Amino acid sequence: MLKRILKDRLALSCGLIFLIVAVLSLSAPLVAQYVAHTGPNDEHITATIGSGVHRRYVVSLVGVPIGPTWGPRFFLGADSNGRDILVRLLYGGRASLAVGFIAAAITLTLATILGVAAGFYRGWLDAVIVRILDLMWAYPVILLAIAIGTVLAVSGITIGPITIRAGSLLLPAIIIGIVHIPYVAKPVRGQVLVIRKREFIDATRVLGMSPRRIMIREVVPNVATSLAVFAPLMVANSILLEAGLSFLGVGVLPPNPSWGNMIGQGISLISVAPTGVLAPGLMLVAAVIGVNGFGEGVRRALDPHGRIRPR
Amino acid sequence: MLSFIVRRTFSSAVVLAAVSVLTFMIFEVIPSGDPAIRMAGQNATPETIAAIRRTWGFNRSIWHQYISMMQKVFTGNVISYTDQVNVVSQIERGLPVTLSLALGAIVLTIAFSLCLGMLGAVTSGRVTDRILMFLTLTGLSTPSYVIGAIALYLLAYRAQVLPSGGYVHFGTDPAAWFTHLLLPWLSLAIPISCLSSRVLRASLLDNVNEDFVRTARAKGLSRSRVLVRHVLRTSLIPLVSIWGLDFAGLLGGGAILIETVFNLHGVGQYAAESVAGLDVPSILVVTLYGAFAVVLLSAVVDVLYAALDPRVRLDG
Amino acid sequence: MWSLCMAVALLPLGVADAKGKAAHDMQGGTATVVLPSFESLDPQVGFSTINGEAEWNVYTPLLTVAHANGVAGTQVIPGLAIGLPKVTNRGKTYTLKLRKGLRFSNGQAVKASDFAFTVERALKLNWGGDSFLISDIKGALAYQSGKASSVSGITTNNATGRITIRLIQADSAFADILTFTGLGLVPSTTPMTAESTKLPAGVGAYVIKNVVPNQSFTLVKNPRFARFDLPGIPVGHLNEIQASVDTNPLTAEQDVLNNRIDVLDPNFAISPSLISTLQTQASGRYRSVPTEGVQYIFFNTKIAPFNHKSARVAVTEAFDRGAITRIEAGFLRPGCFVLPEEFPGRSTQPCPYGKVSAAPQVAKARALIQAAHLTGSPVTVWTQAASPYDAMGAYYVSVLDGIGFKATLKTISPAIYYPTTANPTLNIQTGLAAYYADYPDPTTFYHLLDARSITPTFSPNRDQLDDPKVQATLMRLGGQSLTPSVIAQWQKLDEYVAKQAYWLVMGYPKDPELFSNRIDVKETIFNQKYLSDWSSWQLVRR
Repeated sequence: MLKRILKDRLALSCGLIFLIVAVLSLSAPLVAQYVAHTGPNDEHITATIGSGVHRRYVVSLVGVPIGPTWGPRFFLGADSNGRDILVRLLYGGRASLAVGFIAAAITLTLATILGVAAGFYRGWLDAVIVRILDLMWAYPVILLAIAIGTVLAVSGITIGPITIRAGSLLLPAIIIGIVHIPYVAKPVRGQVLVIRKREFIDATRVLGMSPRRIMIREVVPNVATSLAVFAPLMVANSILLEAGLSFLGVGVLPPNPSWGNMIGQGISLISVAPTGVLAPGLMLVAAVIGVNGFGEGVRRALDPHGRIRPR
Repeated sequence: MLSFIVRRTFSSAVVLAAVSVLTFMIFEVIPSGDPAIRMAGQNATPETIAAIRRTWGFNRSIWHQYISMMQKVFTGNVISYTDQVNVVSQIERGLPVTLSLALGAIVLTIAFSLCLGMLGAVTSGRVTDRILMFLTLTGLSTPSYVIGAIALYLLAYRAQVLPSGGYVHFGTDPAAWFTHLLLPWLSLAIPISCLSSRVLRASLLDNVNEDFVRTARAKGLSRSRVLVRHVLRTSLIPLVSIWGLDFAGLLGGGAILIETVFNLHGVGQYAAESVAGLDVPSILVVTLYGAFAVVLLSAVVDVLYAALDPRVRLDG
Repeated sequence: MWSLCMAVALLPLGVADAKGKAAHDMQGGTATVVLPSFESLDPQVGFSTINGEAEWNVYTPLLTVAHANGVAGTQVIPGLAIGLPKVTNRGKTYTLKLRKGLRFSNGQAVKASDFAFTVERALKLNWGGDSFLISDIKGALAYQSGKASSVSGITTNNATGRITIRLIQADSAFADILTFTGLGLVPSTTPMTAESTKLPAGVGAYVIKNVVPNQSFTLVKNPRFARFDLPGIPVGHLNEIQASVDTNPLTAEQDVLNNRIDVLDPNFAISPSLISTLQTQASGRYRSVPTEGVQYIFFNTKIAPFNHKSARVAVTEAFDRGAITRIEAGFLRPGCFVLPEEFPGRSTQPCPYGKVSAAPQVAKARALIQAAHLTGSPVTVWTQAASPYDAMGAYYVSVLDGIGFKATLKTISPAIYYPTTANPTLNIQTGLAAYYADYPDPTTFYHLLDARSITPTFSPNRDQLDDPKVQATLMRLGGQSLTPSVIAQWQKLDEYVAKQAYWLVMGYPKDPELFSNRIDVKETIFNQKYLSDWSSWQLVRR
């Protein structure tokens, strides 16, 4: 499988694109400390840069931020709060990627549990899970996410012993992770139904294995291929949904940056400060191309006939 | 078929009922989202708030409130808390906009996907195909609101060749209707069609190897001719569900971001306003409406699927 | 002699000229206006400034404010009443007389009892300003809560047109309260339910038609109104004003800049990206007008860390109002007192903690925080999830972090922001807020620092402030008319509150005015209470 991917030039170049975005994002603290000398949320609204005739306000008196200086400070310009766009872009990448990966992990885990349980036990459990999945499937996803986001922005949430503060990255990750569940759980369930009928499960049953062991030992490994195909897709979709929610102001909450909320904040200034939208927009697209392209390589390697398809 | 309809109607009703309960619950637990306090305004006195609570029945049990709300939903008499306007008539007003948006976007999507998908399949493995693969990968990875924002900036603000947003009724001025919707259509159609063109390409290439195609080829028909004449029909089957569900999403108010960017007063923008205003009656109705669109169109897609592909059996 | 001859000779000419002008004014025409939003246009429901703008020339109350620019526009003038109210019984009884021969836009005659009905309707429909009625008029609360079938404090006589209103307590601002469009008279036959499209009839220069909620409506000239010839109340120039909503300020501003729409509503925030274009391409039809409002940061004085005066002072010292002015694209007049510039009772002293334009004293502030052992204290800043408040909140957080606090930002939906932050049980430490004067009396702002505003569940006094010194002054001055000695006492209070740093006042807003080249900008009026006066709009004569 690895060999196939290594031969797939499109997949490899996409993987490389993603790697570059990820490394840049991970290097955010270094850039902040050693290059730009400012943090992602540090504001320099009334500051000036340069000296003598080149002295300029970071944000003009009527609120127009400085454009790219292509120098260490404000390399890509400032936003309307006088924050360094490059620094925010890189920190925003950490947030966007973190949310993307955590959300995808949540989706895959819960979807596998639900899909396998439903497909394996059938009966009333299956009926209940399928109805829940139908409900989540029919519920307008963005509305659900905005609704939960708006609610939790006020209070945060306490689930058992765990308390997640409002403004934590985990919140959008959990919301996104949950709303994506049916996209994976439904095909997984379908696959389990097929696997269940195959003889080897009967054989293991005869050998006296407990249902739970059968599921973990025999069924899950068999759906692993599908999960590997879904994983990159879910990461890409989660990054996109996070950006959309943050664009609307309910994902990653300000002042913390994410690509989506940078686009949302920059959009009204697009005609005078286009980098505020273009930079996070391009990073977002690059990251998603990277994940999607690599994911397609994985799919071509694992599933050359395109049988596995999320709903 | 009849039993399919009966079973599907029943399960859809269950899903919609669950959607309504879930929505109601989510917004009941909002801390200090008390609609009475909101309605009373900034200078409210405790007496005013108490009076509003009584008039609107906020002091009754949550189930009581839910049932009376659902009664209002069924009689089409839901009044919004924030502006005291009939919610159902608001959605009816947004519907022509959203319908125009969704229809145009889906027509463009089908056209683009057919062109790109077939071109990709015909040139499979060649340079054109490779470029196409990369372009469509870029397209499907770009959110529609980013395309919309950039297009708005370039074409509406800079070049001023297209209007910067808003909606004109088809009946008022068909040309203006078209120019106002062109950018939103494109913004929506590009990501969706890039995705479905790749599915179509793969599906076409899969089916090329089927027996009936080999036969046709053996008869001396050209590759592209075979692709279009014989393979396309079969290959379109998986796309029916993709397009159908995308259409359902758009129709159900899923184009929230695009409707916001382009200031289209459709169902999506109304949904966004309702959620931002935490206005329970309108959120409930919008959500039900969106869920209804999805449920209905999924059923339609399943029927179409069965009609197109004899191997598929209708399953409630 | 000569001059007399000339005068006589000119007389007919002058009359002809005046007639010609009047005829021209009546010519009318149609204009379009773009709004950021609007609430229900039923006068007894909506209470936003945007609604006020639209309804001011549609639903005339017994009293109204002068159609004039600047301070003159805060003057109360008779509306449907003859003359100003007669105040007796030590300020507790108001007597007015309804003008004769008035008719509603639907042709019905206006009766004195329609006023009582209007007040009842405002109470029943929970008009946004109903708390003014409840706190002032006898029996208003009993009526609203269903304990009485009418408002006992209001008696009317349809034969004489006499209207008597008895108050619970003297309130010098009551005449101002009577000018709200929510008290614009509607016929007693109007249904007691909120109307969103079929609006009640009113008495005014215009009638609202074709309402599409949240989207558009049209003001059409009321042909009956000119006959009444109400002194000081214009009959309007345009025949029709078409209003539509655009939620995207940028497209709205572009549309007016490019003359596709005639008027930009002043409630829009101008995008910084357009300001230089506006200044160069629309200099004659674009301006910013100061408004009587205040943008401030409240500090909860009951809980840490802002129960310490030094914490509040430190923030004030380190805060750069220039930053906020930039975030608001220059639409802010920085200031440090609760009352806006030129508002009666505003302090005449210099700001207690440095000039408003002075550079921030971060080091000094850090030292103050350290001395009070507050370094590292967590602070949650509340703000609205809408521009520019989110950006202002982010700036405030960076200031707090810079002086040693550990600040986090909480942005919540604008729809629930004010009620949520007024909930004392949430123990909100600090947040951003704005308030616009409801009437030209300091109590309109100072009720936000009045301990009497605090209830266990709802407190517009977000500071939870109960300072005996403030309270004594408020008790003494509330309801008193603004004589020089009363004004001097308000000034003292304004100064004291700034010294105690109970609020961090950022400044007083400015509103934008932008017209297309079709509108005669010189003739337009910007009223302090109702903003752009729609009856003053007229087309440029060509």
